[in-house]
Amino acid sequence: MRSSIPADSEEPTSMGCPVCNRKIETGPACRHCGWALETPWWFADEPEAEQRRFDERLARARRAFDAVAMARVSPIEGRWSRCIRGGAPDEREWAQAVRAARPAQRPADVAPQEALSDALADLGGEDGLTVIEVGGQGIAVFAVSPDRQGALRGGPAGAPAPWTELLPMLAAAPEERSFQLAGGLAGFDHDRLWAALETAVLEIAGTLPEGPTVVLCGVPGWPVPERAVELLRLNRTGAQVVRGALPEIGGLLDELIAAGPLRQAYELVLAVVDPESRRIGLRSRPLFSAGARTGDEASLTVYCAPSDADGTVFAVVTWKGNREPRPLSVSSVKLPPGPHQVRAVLEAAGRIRFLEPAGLSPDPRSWATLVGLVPERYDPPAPAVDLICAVELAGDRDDVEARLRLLRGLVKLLDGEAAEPGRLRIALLGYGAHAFDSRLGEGKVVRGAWLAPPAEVLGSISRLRYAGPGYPAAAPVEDMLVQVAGRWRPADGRKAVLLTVGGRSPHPAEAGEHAVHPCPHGHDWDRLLGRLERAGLARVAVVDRPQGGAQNVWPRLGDTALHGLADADPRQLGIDIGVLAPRDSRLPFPLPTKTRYADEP
Amino acid sequence: MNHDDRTMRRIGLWGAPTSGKTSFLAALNIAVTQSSEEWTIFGVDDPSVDFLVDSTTTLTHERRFPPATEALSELSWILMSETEVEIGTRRRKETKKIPLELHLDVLDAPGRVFGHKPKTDAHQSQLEGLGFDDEDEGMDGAGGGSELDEEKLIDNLADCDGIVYLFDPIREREKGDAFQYFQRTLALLAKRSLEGRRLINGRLPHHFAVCITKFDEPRVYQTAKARGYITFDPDDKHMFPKVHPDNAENLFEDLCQVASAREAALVHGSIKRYFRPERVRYFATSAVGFYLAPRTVRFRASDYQNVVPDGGEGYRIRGDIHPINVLEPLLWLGRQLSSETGR
Ligand SMILES: Nc1nc2c(ncn2[C@@H]2O[C@H](COP(=O)(O)OP(=O)(O)O)[C@@H](O)[C@H]2O)c(=O)[nH]1
Ligand SMILES: [Mg+2]
Repeated sequence: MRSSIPADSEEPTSMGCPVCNRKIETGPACRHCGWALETPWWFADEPEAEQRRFDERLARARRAFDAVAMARVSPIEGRWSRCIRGGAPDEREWAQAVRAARPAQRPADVAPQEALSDALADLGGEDGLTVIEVGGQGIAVFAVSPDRQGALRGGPAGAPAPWTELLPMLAAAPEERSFQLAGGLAGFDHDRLWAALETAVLEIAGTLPEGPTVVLCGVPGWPVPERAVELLRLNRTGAQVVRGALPEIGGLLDELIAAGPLRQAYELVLAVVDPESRRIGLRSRPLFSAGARTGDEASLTVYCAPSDADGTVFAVVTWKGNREPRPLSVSSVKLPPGPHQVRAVLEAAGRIRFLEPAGLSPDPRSWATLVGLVPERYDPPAPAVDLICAVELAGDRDDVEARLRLLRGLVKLLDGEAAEPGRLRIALLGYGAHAFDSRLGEGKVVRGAWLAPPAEVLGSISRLRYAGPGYPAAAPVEDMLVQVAGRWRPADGRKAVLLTVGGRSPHPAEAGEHAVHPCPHGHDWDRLLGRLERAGLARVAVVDRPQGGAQNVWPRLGDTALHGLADADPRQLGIDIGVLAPRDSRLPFPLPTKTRYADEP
Repeated sequence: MNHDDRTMRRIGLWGAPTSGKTSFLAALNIAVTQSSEEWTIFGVDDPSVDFLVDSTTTLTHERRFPPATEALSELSWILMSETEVEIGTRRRKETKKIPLELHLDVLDAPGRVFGHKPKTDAHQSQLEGLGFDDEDEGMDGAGGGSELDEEKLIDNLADCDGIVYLFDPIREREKGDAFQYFQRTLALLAKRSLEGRRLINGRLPHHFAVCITKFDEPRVYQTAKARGYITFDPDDKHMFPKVHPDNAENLFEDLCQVASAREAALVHGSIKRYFRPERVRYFATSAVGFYLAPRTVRFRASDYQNVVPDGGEGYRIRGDIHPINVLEPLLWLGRQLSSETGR
C-alpha cells in the first residue's frame, strides 16, 4: 500500500469501510462492498473468539474484495498476486472472485470494430469523429476527419495520457497499478481519487472538438477506467460507449477508413462542348460513386481530342458542395486522338489507380494552369471527310515536286492521325496542261484515283508524273473541276473538301480581253466552281505564289484557307481541311465520346 | 517619174525588228499556195529559195516561228501573177488583164538586231522572236545603227516603188520608240528624194502598204472586234474575221490610241505627212491566222488563238496556218504600180 493513503484517511468523518475504504454511510452494510457494518461484535459471549472470528471474516472480506480486482487484471495469475490483502485466496474464493470480476453482459453491446465502422459510415459531409480509448494504460484520443477531397483521415490527437500522469497517486509498478485501476482501491481516499480523475478527464475532454464521439473502454468493469468512461459519456453528448477487448486503435481506424465506402463520388474531369456555341465547359462524370468500396473497378470511354505535347489530363476530382472541384489525382499521358477506354481501380479511399490508359504519370501542373489551358471554344474535326486533292503537274519542275511533296506529307500525316477506318477518304486528281496542238489533240489532262483510304493514296501520288512546263498563264483547273463536279456527290455526315495545290489560274471558258487561251473543251471554271460551292464543297488551296488577274480563282479555291506553297504546312492543312483539330483548340481534357465530332450533340 | 526602163517593180518589206517580217515572208509562201488566184513566188538565188522552203516548213510542220535570220536583207524574191486593171478614159472604162511582177526585198533596219548581235543559236533567235517580251533589243533610237547601215537603208527605200511596212501594235505599245526611228528614216528619205527631185507635191512618191501584224493576237483582234471593224468574206468557207481595208487605218489609230506611249500615234501622223493619201493603204494582217479546231470548218470566236506560249520563252503554233492579208498588200501594191504604168 502506498504511504500516502493513511494521510488521506486522517479526517475522522471520512472514515472508510474497512474492506473497500469507501466512505461509510448510514446503513447496516457498506453500500459498495456489502461489508456488514453494524455487527454488534462487542456484545459477544466470548469476545476473544468473537474478535478472532471477526478478524477472520474481515480478512476474508478484504481478500475477496481485492481478489475481484485482481481477477479483473488477471484471472489466472492474479490469484497469487501480493496485492491481495490477506494472502492468496483459496480455490473457491478465487473462482468466486473471477465470477464476480466478469463484467455484466449487456446484450446491446457491439464489438468495437463494428461500432467504429458504423460510426464512420454515419459521418456526414464535414463531420469528424472523436474516438477516445480508455484502457489499462491510460487514455488515448483519435480524431478522424475528412480531408480536402472528403476522404477520411484518422490519427492520434496528441500523445496518449498514461494513468501515471492522469492519476499520479497510483502505484508506479504496473501490476499493482492495474490492480488499483481494476478496483484494488482500498488504500485510497475515494473522494480525492475521483476528484483527481474528474479533473484529468475533463482536461482531456476540454481539448476535443465537438461532434460524434465513440468512447472505447478496453477494460470493462475496471472501476477507475469505467469511471473515466462515465465522466466522458456525461461530458460529450451523444457519445457512444463501447466496451470490449481493443486492438491497436490507430491501425484499426486506418483499416476501417480504407475499407469503408466512398463518402463522395470520385469524378473524372471532361471537357464538354456546347453544341450551339461550341463553348467548352469542364464537367465531371462519376468514376466511383459514393458508396464504392476498395477494390471496386470503374470504366468509362472518353474521346481524346488532339492534345499538346503534355498530353491528355486525367483528373479525378471530388466536389465540395457545388463550388469547386477538388483534384484528387491529376495525371497525364500523350495519347493518339480517338476514343480511349478509361479503367480505374479504387485502391483505398482517396487512392485511385488507373489500369487504362497505360502510361499515365502524375502531372505536376497546378489545377489553375490546367484549367487555363482549356480553349474557350472547341471546333471539333469533322466526323468523316472526303478530301479531293487536286494538284497541278505542270510548271516549274521544282514547284511541281514541292506540291507533290506537300501532298505526300499531308496524306501521311492524315493517315497517321485520322486512322479510324472509313473516316477519311482521299481522291487524287493530277492535272497537267492543255496541249493546244491540233495534231496531238487535247487528250486527258486530268489523271488520278477517286476516293480511297489514305494509305492507298500515297501509291497514287507516286504514279503522278511531271507534265512539263505547260501553258504559262493558265492550267486546266477547269478540267479538274469537271472531274470533281462529275464524280463527287454530297453525302450526309461526310464533309467534303477540295484541296487544290497549284500555281496557275484556269483557262477561261471563252477567249476574251485577256490573252489567255480559253479551255479547248470550253469548260467554264466559274460555273463549275459555283456549282460545287453551292453543293457545299469546302475549299482549301495552296498556290505557288500569290497572284491577281481576272481568272484568279485562288481566293475561291482557297475559300476556307489559302496558303503559299513555300509556307504551307501539312498539319495546318489538316486543320484547315477539318481532319485535324486546330492548334488553339487543343484540349487538355478528354471529351465525352458523344461530342468528339462536329455534328454530334 | 520614169519607171519605163524597169522591167519589174521593186517592193521593200520594211519594219522594226520583231515586227513580223520573217513570219510574213514565211506565210507569204503559204498564202501563195492557198490563193485562189495564180501566184508564183521564187527566190532569185539558192539562199532565197532555201529560206522560203525552210521557213514555211518551220511554220507548218514544226509549228514554230521561223528563227531570225541574219541574212534576211540579202534575200530577194520575185512574185508573179496577173491582175485586172482599169484602163480607158472617164467615159469608157475597161478592165484589162495585165501581168504582175514584183521584186520583193527585205529592207534591213539599222540597229543591233542583226548587225551587231548575230544570232546563231535557235533558242536565242526564239528569244528574239518573242517580240513583245523583248526587253532591250531592237531599235536603239535614231543613232542606233552605223551611219553606213542607215545610208544603205535610205538607198534601198529610195529605190523602192512600193513599201510594205509592218507595224506590230503590241510591240509598239510596249516599246513606244517606233516613232523616233520611223520619223527619222522618213525624214532622211524625203531629203534624198528631194535631192533626186522625186517628191510629188512635197510627198514621197512611194506606195505604202501599212500592215498591222499579228491581227490574230487577242489585243489586236479584240480591239477590232470591240470597234466593230470585223467583217467576213462570204467566199471564205472558214469565215475567218477580217478587217476591211477601209477600217484598217481606224484600227491602226485605235491601237495607237490605247498605246501606252503616245509616240506610236505619231507614226500615223508621219505617214500622213510623208506619203500621198491615195498611195497609202492599211491592212490588218496575220502570218499564222486564227485557230481552226480539228474537224471544224468555221472560225470560233470563243477559242481562236493559234499561237501558244510554249512554256519556255517562246511561242508555238497550235494548228494549221491561215495567213490573213499577207498577199493582199502585195496585190494592192502591184495594182497601184500597174495602173501607174498604164497611165
Ligand atoms: N500572233 C502572231 N505572232 C506573230 C506573227 N508573226 C510574228 N509573230 C511573233 O513575232 C515574233 C517576231 O516575228 P518575226 O517574223 O521574227 O519578226 P521580224 O524580226 O520582223 O522578222 C515571232 O517570233 C512571233 O512570236 C503572227 O502572225 N501572229
Ligand atoms: Mg481546259
